[in-house]
Amino acid sequence: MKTKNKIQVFLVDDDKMFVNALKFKLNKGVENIEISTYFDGENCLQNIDKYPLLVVLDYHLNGDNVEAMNGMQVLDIIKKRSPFSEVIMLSSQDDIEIAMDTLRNGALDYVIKNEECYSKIKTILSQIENEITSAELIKNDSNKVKKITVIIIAIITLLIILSSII
Amino acid sequence: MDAISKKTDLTFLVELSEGSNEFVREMVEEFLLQLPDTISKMQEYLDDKKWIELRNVAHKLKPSLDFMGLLSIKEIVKTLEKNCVDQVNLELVPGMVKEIIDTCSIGAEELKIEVLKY
Repeated sequence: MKTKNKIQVFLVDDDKMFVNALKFKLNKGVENIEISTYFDGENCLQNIDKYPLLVVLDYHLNGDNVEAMNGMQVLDIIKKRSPFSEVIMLSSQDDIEIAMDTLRNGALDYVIKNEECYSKIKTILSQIENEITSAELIKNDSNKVKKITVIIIAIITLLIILSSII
Repeated sequence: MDAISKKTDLTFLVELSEGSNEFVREMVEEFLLQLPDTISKMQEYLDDKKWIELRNVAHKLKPSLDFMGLLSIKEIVKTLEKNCVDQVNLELVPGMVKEIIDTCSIGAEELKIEVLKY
């Protein structure tokens, strides 16, 4: 079952080749996804009012420009301005301190940039998509129950009116 | 050139491509496009002894090494990063930069031929 709106995903990384590869992998075999790419945190935040479902954010965003915001600063602002956006923090370092910090600051997961990270991020995205689909199914079922209840009440009311006339 | 002496190996990139030659071609072309600027920055920061900036350029190169299969210099890049950040064994850094630049340059020449297959 497809969701009505496309799932908005932001990829934020200053490494163009990595972004291209991740975008290619996430798009593969999936129709219900719209990926926006940003090469710095500032541009990502300018578009955060699109309320992306998932933001894949590089920890080391200020490599080229020391004035630029780093991943933790961007994460902090995302969680304030779009609290329902899930954030996956990316890092080249297997650093438990950084990992704990990002999770404490609201990131959903911390993923090391290596050969496995593409399939790992795709799996996380699929899980989020499945959760949305399940929520929509529950919502649809709930709507059906409401409609049936209204019809039954209408029939009973009609029967009562008819019986009083007869 | 035989496979053993080759610096590059596109196996990972081809696996990632799931059969899309266009993707492989685009990624190799992007690497070839970015490499001159990367080499120039590394050399400039080395000459100016700007260790943190040099570390940052080396750091950013790492995913490209995976894509292009330039795996023989991955450990050198990691050591270079560590030395620059910790400001230790800096006398070894010029040799590391040379090894990285030389290997990437040879790799680039290989890739210019290899990419024609895709």
